[in-house]
Formats: sequence, structure tokens, C-alpha cells
Amino acid sequence: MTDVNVVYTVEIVGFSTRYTFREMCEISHLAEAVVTEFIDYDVIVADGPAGVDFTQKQLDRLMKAFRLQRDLEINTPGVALVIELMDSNQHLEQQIKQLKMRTVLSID
Amino acid sequence: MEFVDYYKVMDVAEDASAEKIKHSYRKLARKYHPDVSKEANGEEQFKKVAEAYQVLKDPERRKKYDELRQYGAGSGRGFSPPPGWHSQAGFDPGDFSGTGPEPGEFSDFFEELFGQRAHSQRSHHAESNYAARGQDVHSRLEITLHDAFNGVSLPVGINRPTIHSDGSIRSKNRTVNIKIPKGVVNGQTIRLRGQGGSAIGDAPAGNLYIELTIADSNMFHLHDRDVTTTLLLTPWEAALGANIVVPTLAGKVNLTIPPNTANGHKLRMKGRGMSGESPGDQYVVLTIVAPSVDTEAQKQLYRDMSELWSFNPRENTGNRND
Repeated sequence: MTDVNVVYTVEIVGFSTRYTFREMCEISHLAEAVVTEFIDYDVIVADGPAGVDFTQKQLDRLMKAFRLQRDLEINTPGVALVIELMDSNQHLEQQIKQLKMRTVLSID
Repeated sequence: MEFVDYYKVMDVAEDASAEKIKHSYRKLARKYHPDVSKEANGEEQFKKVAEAYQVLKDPERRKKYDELRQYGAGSGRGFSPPPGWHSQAGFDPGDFSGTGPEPGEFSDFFEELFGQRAHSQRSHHAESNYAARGQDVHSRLEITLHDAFNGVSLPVGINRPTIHSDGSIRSKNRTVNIKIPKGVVNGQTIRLRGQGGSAIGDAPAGNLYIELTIADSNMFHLHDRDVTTTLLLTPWEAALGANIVVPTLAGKVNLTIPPNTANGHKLRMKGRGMSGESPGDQYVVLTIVAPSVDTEAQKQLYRDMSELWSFNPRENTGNRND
């Protein structure tokens, strides 16, 4: 089915959106105990200005952590470690990319 | 409908042990899981693997599937389940726990063979006053840095779980045109209200959430709203200063290089980064490139320079070999 004649204007739900703990549970369809466990293991942190609410970044991390736990059959400490290593890997990849960009331009 | 050989998908023999199937699933899941995979078609592959695992990990489901496989595999043509299959199936994808695609993301093959009980239950819901909000659908989209800076309208394919009149959930592929405003950044999520899964009864449809990824650019490196570029300078441009045309996301601008600029210095061009209410900055990293010295005149110039300067870059570095 094609609906390309209708243009949907999207809403940005990015970095300024804040969620309460209850909203995090409702949107992710996860039980409070599951979300609490991810908080206990620092997979997600309340990073909103009030210190008790969560940004979109944390909601994305929560969903990713849940998918990894469900699909790769790993426990919560394992998920916390995987997420931490993925963060570190992403940071290193960014640094490599910056260094490569300088090197390539220098050679050219 | 094509017959799907779950043993082939899982890369195991048909007499493989439960342990072997589990091991293969873990191996393939690590390779194709969309949150960790760098494979181009990782998400699609993972859905196939997860669906196969849902069936093969359960002895009862596997036994039923094996019966079907005897009946249908190798037919070489379109596959249809044997007469009376539905009444004896007794599976419900909604009961499946643990791994696997979300409801509505199973293949047609799976839905046809194992989805009947779930359909009848949902049909019952549809006939009663039962109402449930449609599920939210999460997706990803890669756009160029140029499109992120300027905003863009583009068609995107949506795989939307839809509840049919008989209560069954089927994936419905459609293409919609979406307008992304300018100034989005990497990892930002956009929402299309009501474009997720369809609802039961009078409840609202789910939303579609799309996580945006901005594709790599050879010229610009994006970090949040700031961009970094590298500008190559000759030694005399760095020493004497210069006016040089540099690229920005909005087009080319003239940049003044101050005299006595050192290698690796960073210049900030305020507000020249990613667009938005609070635009980012552009950082220009200066890299001095020494030319090759080929002619006698060029060599003499360097000899003159060595006499003019009493300069040793290794001074105070613990590597002064003079």
C-alpha cells in the first residue's frame, strides 16, 4: 500500500522530552520491578534536570537493554556490561573516525 | 506461501539436539541482533532466526513442525498445510515468551501455520466490548548530514501490525511520506502519532517511533550539534596568516587564519554547526602539511631557515638529541 501523497509531519520526541518512572514503565510495557532492576544496575539513570525523571536517551537505552536481555538470553548484570562496552566502543569508533578523517585529508 | 525450513535458517541438522539449537541461536543472535549487528540485513535475518528458534526450542512445537516438514518440504512449489491442520495446531504466538519477533512481525508462513488459536481469541475480543490501544512500533532511519541540516521530506516503508476482521494480526507494508524538520541530531527519535499498530475496539492506534541515524560524511564529523572539519595549511599560511575558503553545512565561508598558528590548533566558528533553535558550532582543526623538498633552491631555503631559527621541537620533551 502506498500513501506517499499524504505528508506526515513528524514530532520530535528527542532530548527535551522527559518521562517519569511510571511513564517509562507504561511506554516500554515493562513491569516496575524490571525497570527498577535496570536502574539498580546503572543501565539507565534519572538524567532529567529534576534528578527523578528520564530523558528520551534513557528510554531508548531501556528498550535496547530489554531487547538484548530478551533476545540474547542474558541476565541483567550481563546486559549492563554489554551496554557499557557498546558505549565505550561507540566512543572509540568516533575517535578513530576523527583521526582517520585527519589522516586521509593529510595524505590527499 | 513458501515453505520455510527452520533447520536451514538455524544452520542445524534436523536431528540436532536442543542444546545444539540453543547454541546456534545464540551464535546467530549475536551476529544478527539489530542492536549489535553491523550486517546490512541484520534485522531481517534476526527475525527469521528468532522465529525459527521459537518453534524449534519447544519439543511439542518442533514435533508438529517436523510433521509439517515431512508433508511440505521439497514440494518445490507453494506450500499449503494439510487439511485439518488448524484444528490440531493449538499454538498461540501470543503465548510465546522470551525471544522472538513482536506479535505481527512473524512471517506469513508462521502466521498461517501457528496463528489460528491466537486469531480466534482476538476475534472473540473484537466481538465483545474489549478495547486495547495498538502497539507502538519502533524503527530506524538513516539520513544524510545534508538532510539533517536542511530538513527533508522522504518516503519511508512501514511494517505495521494490523488486526483483521477475523482477529488475526498481520504485517502490512506501506509507504508513507514523512517530513523531518531541520536540525535533528544523531540518535534523535521522531514520533508519528497513530501510525503504529492498529487498535482493538475504540482504543487509539499505536505510535510509530523512528530513531534517526545520521550517515557518515567524509568532510564533517558530527558530535551532538557541533561539527568538526580539518583544514590543511601550508607552513607559510600558518606562519603568516591567511584568508581561506572553508566548507560549512550552510555553504562555503571565508575563514581568517591568524599568524603564528600551530599545528592542531582548533578554531571555533560560532553557530555554524547543526541548525536548530540553538545551533551548534563548527570547529576547524588546523593541520600543517610540509611540502616535499625537491630542488636545490628549496633545499637552500631550509638550510637558511635552520640558521635563522634556534628551534628544537624536542626541547623539554626528554628526547633532546642534540
